[in-house]
Amino acid sequence: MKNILITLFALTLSTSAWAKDIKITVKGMVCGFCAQGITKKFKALPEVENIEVSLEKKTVLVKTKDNQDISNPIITEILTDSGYNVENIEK
Amino acid sequence: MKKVIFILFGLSFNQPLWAHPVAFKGAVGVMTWSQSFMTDDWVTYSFRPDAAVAARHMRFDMPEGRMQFYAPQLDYLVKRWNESDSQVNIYVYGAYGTMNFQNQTRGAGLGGIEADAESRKYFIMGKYEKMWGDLGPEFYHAEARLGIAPYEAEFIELASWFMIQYQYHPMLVRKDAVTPLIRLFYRSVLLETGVSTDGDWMMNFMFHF
Repeated sequence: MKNILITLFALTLSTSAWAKDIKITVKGMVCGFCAQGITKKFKALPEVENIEVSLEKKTVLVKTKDNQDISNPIITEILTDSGYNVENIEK
Repeated sequence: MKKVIFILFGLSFNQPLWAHPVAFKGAVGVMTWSQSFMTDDWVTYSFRPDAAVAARHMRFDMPEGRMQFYAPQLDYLVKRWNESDSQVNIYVYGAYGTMNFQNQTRGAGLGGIEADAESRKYFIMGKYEKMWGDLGPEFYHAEARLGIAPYEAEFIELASWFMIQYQYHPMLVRKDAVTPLIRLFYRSVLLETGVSTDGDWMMNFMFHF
């Protein structure tokens, strides 16, 4: 029984690890009022679980749902449509 | 970057009312600007990251009477420089609609140029608008702004700015105005208010969704 529980726990950890954290470094993101479009557009994607914007760090952190990913061209398109330039994407 | 800011400062002898005539693609923005001698109301839809359509109403109080202007408008982002800690923008816009003055209505056009540079700490903006019409005196409007943020607000915090605004419009009952003002915004809602050195109150309210 103990072994089964340990196995299930390990499987749970393994499954949740499939969610992706994407760190995007953005140029020009200096105003929170103007950057609201970023959260609006990412939240509209079904793959997105959570999004955090930091003006201080100049980053957008996107957490995807399990087994989901967002391609770099889509990320770049969203940031461009929001008025910014992508400096770097880390997955 | 420094040169661009100096150029913008030079342009800012004629500066504007709000920050960005074009927002993110798909954004709808509403602005209402009120002073005793003028109002300026916009509803915009940004159909591209560099272009927006707008419906605009302006009211100007002149010595000869009150003028109203109603027009659809096209806003275009000519150039944007996105830097790590700053952003610089140049916009142009044009409108053609109707002007109402002394109980007469005629066609009228408007053209404008606007530029701004901002970081999380500093803000500078300039704007010039000119109106052509068959009624009333030839009208132009210039505005400049300088701003400083007492703290660098994060994305989901209340942001505060202290600004000084200069407006020049020699055809109005108030030929110019210097207005210290405070700008506050939280998420998609922005409010500006101040009182000019002549005692004229102003308020600007914006939101976008």
